[in-house]
Parts: sequence; structure tokens; C-alpha cells
Amino acid sequence: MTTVDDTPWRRALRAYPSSWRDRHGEAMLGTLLDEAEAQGRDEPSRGERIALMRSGLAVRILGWMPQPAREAVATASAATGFALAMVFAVFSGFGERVDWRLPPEGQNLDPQASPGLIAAGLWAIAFVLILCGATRAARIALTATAVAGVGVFVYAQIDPLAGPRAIVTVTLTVFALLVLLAPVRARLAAGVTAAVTTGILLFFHLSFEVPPGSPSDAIWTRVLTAEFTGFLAGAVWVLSLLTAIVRARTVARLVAAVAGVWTIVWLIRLTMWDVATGMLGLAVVVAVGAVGVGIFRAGARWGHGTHPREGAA
Amino acid sequence: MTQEMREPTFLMLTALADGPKHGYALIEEVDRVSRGHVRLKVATLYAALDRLEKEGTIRIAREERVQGRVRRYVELTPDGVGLLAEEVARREVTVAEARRRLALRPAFGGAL
Repeated sequence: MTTVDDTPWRRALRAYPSSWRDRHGEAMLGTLLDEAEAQGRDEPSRGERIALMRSGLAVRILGWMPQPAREAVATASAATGFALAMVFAVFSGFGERVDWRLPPEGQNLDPQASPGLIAAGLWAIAFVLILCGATRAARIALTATAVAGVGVFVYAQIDPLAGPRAIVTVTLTVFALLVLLAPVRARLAAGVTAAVTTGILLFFHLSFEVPPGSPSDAIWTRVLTAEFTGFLAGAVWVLSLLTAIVRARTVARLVAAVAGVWTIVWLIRLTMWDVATGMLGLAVVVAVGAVGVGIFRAGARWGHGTHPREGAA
Repeated sequence: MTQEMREPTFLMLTALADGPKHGYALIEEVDRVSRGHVRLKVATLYAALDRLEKEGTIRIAREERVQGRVRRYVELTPDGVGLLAEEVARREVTVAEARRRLALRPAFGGAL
């Protein structure tokens, strides 16, 4: 019999869902006890507890998503988040802040920096680190970006004239968190996607004649409207379907992730303006997604039945 | 496989190349193979084993109970052996190219 009381390890393993514990729990416990015995410990180390909690939470939250899909979403989120941050910084980072509570002669019309520039600046740093392959440093920068996003959001609630609109901070924070799903290793894909996305956003800014120094909500009321973001998400989904049909799997996965990211932008846009419409949009996405997965699985079964894998018995 | 294999995965597959191993033996073997550079956490190990099992790269060979503890032995599948061989060949090409280019450097290389 084992001489170590395994209760503290069993408690730490509760971070994992029961389905995971059923599959791996006893084997994992055995390995944890083997290691503890070799290191002369009779309880989990602090690092071990943190690692188990983090890994357990990751399995609970993301266990349903395969690793390649997670990496594609992280890559698409990095590129899109960076593009949105840069467009925000250029068009809304500096501008005259008009205080409607003051008379015209009392206004300070000097360009002022938006606190949202902190989150945008951290986004730029994080993206450069991603492109340089500094994965760990990029994750730290992204965590700082998310924290800054929340901080600026709170500050903007206290002083609405100083901070950017909530939709800006919410979007930048959500994307920073999405990038943390997985390390971004497809650096070229991230760079190309960021360049294309920035180009599209700039093109529409110029088309809608949005000048630099505009209020932070100008992009959301004139460019990233519910109609436009919905159309963009739909168009990219069609593109991902086409790439999947020509069997360019890696590209299709990334394009689908970009489409998913723009679907998130669409849902954020809907929800921040009207929660009920946002929930309706979410219901539509879930319904369409369920039908899509059903068709995909049926197609996969059909393909498997008619084209047996090479080497299969 | 079109994606580049990550170092911990390569080390794990290398550690399993000569036969099945249980969890702690695998951690020790990876530590040895990497000359002390990579020490896998148990949580990381099982997350990787779960992924590799789903991908069909490894499979459970057997389970034993030793001193009341479960020891699960895992081994490479034929697909896993092929994957490791491909990765080794890919790395050998890269290493050979690095050696060739280093040999081309002038004798005073790096002095400028």
C-alpha cells in the first residue's frame, strides 16, 4: 500500500471535470504520488497545485475545442485585436474632448490622449512579441492588455468624458483573452491576417470619411455597424467553406477562425447596443452552428463510408 | 503532419520510442533526453497524452497497480512511430544544412 495520504492530491484533481477524472484521474494520481515520493514530499507543492488548477480549468472551459482550432482562434484573435487597436489608436487615440456640461468658451480644444491608448499600446507590444516568437513574453503582455482593458473600462465608467466607449475596451479585452487560449505559432499567418484586416478597416474608414481625432464610437457607428460586421462575418464564413471544399485544411481552419472572430465582433456590437438583440443574435449563431456541425458530421460519415482510409482493414 | 512538432511532444515521443513507459518514468526520461532542459509537469504531461491519444499517436499499453497506485503505460502506435521518424528526418535535414553553412564560414568567422 502507498504510505502517503493521497487526499490533498485528490482534492487538487477536483479542478478537472468528472469525465476527465474518470479517464485519467487514477493514472494521474499515481504519477503525482510517484513524483512526490521521489522528491520526499507528503503534500502537493504550490506550483503543482497551481498547475493542476490551471490545467483543470482549461479542460473545463476549453476541453471541447481541439488544439488546432484553439490555435487558429488565437491567431485570428491576435490579428483582429491588433488591427482594431491600431485603428482605434490612429483615429480615436487623440482628439478634442468636448464636455457638453461646459459652455463653448470653456472647452479645452487641445488634442488629448485617450486612456484607451494604454490598452492599444500594450496590444501593439504583444503583437510585436508574437511576431518575434517571444511566446511567453507575449502572453504576459496580453494579460497586461486584458488587465489594462478592464482598468480603462472602469475608469471610463467613472469619467465618461475621458475614457473610450465601453465597446472599445470590451472588444480589446475579449480579444486579448482569446489570444491566451493557445500560443500563436503561425506568425506569418498572423502577420498577413493583421495586415489584411487593418487594410480593410482603413479602407472603410476612408470610404466613410472618418477623420483622425474622431470620438471612439465613430468606428462603431459609421464603420463597424451591426449590418457591416454581420455581412463581413457571413462573407468570411463563405470564404472558409470554399477553402474547405478545395481541401486547403490549414487555410480553411484559419479563415473559419477569422469568421468566428468577426461573428464575436458582431455579437459584441449587437449586445453593447441592445442586450435582447445580442441574445437573439447568439441564438441564431448557436442554431446555425448546430446545423453546420450536423451537416459536417453527416458529410464526414458519408465520406468515411464511401472512401475508406488507405490501409484500413 | 503539416504543423511543426513542438519540442515537448518530440521529447515525449522520443522517450517512448524504445518501448512503453508509465507517467513518472516518462517525466524522468524526457528530463534525461533533454539533458535537464525540459522537466514536464504532471498536468502538462497528461494534457499532452490526452491530445496524442486522441490524435492516434500513442495508446495505452497496459495498467498496473503498484503499492496501491495506478501505473498506466503508454506506447507509440504505428502512426506515432511514423510521425516520429518523419520529424527526425526533418530535423536531420535542418541540422545537416546548419552544419554545411557553418563549414562555409571563413576561418576568421565572426571576427568582423
